[in-house]
Amino acid sequence: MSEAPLLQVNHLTKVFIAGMLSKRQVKAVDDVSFEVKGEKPQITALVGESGSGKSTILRTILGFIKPSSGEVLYKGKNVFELLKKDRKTFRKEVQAIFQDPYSIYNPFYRVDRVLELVMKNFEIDPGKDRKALIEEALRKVGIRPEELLGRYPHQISGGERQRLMLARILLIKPRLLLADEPVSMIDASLRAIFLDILLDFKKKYDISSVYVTHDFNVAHYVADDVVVLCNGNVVEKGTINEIVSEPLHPYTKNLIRSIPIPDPTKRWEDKIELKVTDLKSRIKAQGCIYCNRCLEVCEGCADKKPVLKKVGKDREVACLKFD
Amino acid sequence: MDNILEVENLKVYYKGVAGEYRAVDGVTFQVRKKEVFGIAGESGCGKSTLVEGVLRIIKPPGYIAGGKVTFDGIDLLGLKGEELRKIRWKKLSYVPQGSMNSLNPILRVKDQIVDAITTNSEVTKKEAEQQVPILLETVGLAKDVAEMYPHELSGGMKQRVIIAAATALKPDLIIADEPVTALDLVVQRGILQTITELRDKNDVAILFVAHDMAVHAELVDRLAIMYAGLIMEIGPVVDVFKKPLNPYTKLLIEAIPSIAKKRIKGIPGISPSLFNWPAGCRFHPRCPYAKDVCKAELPKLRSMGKDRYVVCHFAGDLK
Repeated sequence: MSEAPLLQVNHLTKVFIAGMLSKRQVKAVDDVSFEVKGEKPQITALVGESGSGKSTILRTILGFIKPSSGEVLYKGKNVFELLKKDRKTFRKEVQAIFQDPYSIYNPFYRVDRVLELVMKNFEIDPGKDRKALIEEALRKVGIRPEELLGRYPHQISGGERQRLMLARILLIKPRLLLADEPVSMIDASLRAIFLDILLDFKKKYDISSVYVTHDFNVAHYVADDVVVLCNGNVVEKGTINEIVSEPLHPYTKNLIRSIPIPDPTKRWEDKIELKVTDLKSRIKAQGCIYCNRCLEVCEGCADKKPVLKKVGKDREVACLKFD
Repeated sequence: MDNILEVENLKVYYKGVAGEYRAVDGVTFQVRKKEVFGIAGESGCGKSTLVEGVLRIIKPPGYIAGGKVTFDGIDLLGLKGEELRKIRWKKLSYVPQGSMNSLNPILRVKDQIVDAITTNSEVTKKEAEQQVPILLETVGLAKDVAEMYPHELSGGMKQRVIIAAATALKPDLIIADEPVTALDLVVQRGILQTITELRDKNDVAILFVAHDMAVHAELVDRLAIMYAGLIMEIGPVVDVFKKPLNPYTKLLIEAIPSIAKKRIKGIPGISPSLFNWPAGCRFHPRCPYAKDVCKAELPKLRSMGKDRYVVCHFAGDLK
């Protein structure tokens, strides 16, 4: 039996209305489609600059934001239907972890509560000793339970808070984890530890993830597949190795060659051309969203919007050059 | 004299209810003329406090608890009010953290740069206005940006305006605190390019503070690694990356995710808190090479080979 994919995002569009009087429309997400097959656990990274719509997509998947059009399907079922009918199961199977490890804790309660609540609310292993399970989960994410339990959020570091969130995920064992820049606020020395735990989740507990990041270095470390976003549009999709070694879209190319490489003997030798964009010219609705910054812009780009074209196995790109 | 800035055993503490918090606890380094000197370290290690101490802009409860800062032969810590003002911006300028937010939202870019020039020098308003387009050009901005308001600019463009203003009076040293953090990759690369060009064209030295080791690898000439209020290692950037002397440096480099390598590993344990630095070497609780002496005795900064300084009892023994 061929099962429905774990997660399907179909033609998702989200328009925000900005301004009190002018009612300017901002298309944060514009006709985005991708899927996480989930036959075997995988990590899909959504990569893009700030304002590319990464977080909006993630929030729509979680059901925090209603899409303007399009739909999100979890195991073939619409997320909003699921949230109405079977909220608890959906929340148990789809979990999230966010950027800021400081704002998710209630400062009045000890950190234990975060873990105890999920066990209670999701009725995890009701017969078993909760404390033992919590301690086991903490150890698996590299935290000594005796050093952490009973403390208040302000007494522990950002890295510990974020790992505590991972312990929480481990207790719930969701099918799908949505991560929104979880390492951008933790120290470099701890990032690798955090990312390794995420990889462990995939290998040991069959948890698939959608990982939102602006950092190709991190995406390269954790992800199997990448969806590259630019101004709310998917410009390129493929496996991480393909995209990093041979980016096709001019936007991806420019991003990849701007990644600083931590090796002083391999410095950038060429110079990047920075297009000083004429801020007053707006991109035409029917044109390519990247045409005013594109270094390889051609004649038709301002008037015709490229659609995603398949250019290889699991590889798609939206650029007129491949049309 | 080759050094534009000499910092000697600088201590910047914060007064707290429970005593003193030693955020910067005896830091020594020199910035040479025309070089980009990088300071790297994780959050909470004292990078920004160090910079604020050097610039004498530390606010209470922070205070300078000791040490010496010499800028171009002048004892900075001994200067008072007006004397300090004469040096700032003209000879020593500062690009603070998140500085793209430090532009005045109701003034045009041009007026803000002119303001900076006329307040800090004898240049007339008219002459200053003529300089604006040239300054903007050096940081890669079109001259019409001069007529714009900050809200019309992107984060990267605002950052460039700040850098343009900081270089307006051709200072000898620019201190930049995380100038590329929170910018998109392509913009970040553009700014780094701008900084390199400034150094090459204007003969200015730059003290560049950033947490991102990859950025240091692309930009700086010499690099200092800070940890828990102290400098752990100083050296030419290539040597520091290729042959780190201090275990922390070595582990930090191994922990950087990069598309150029597939495996990385983190440093176990957590960064110490400035409320309570560990006794002995401050890295010993996390150091895989720690021995008994490391727990008991704080090693001193010592010279090891050309241009290299390190704080470690066993520096050079790293495998």
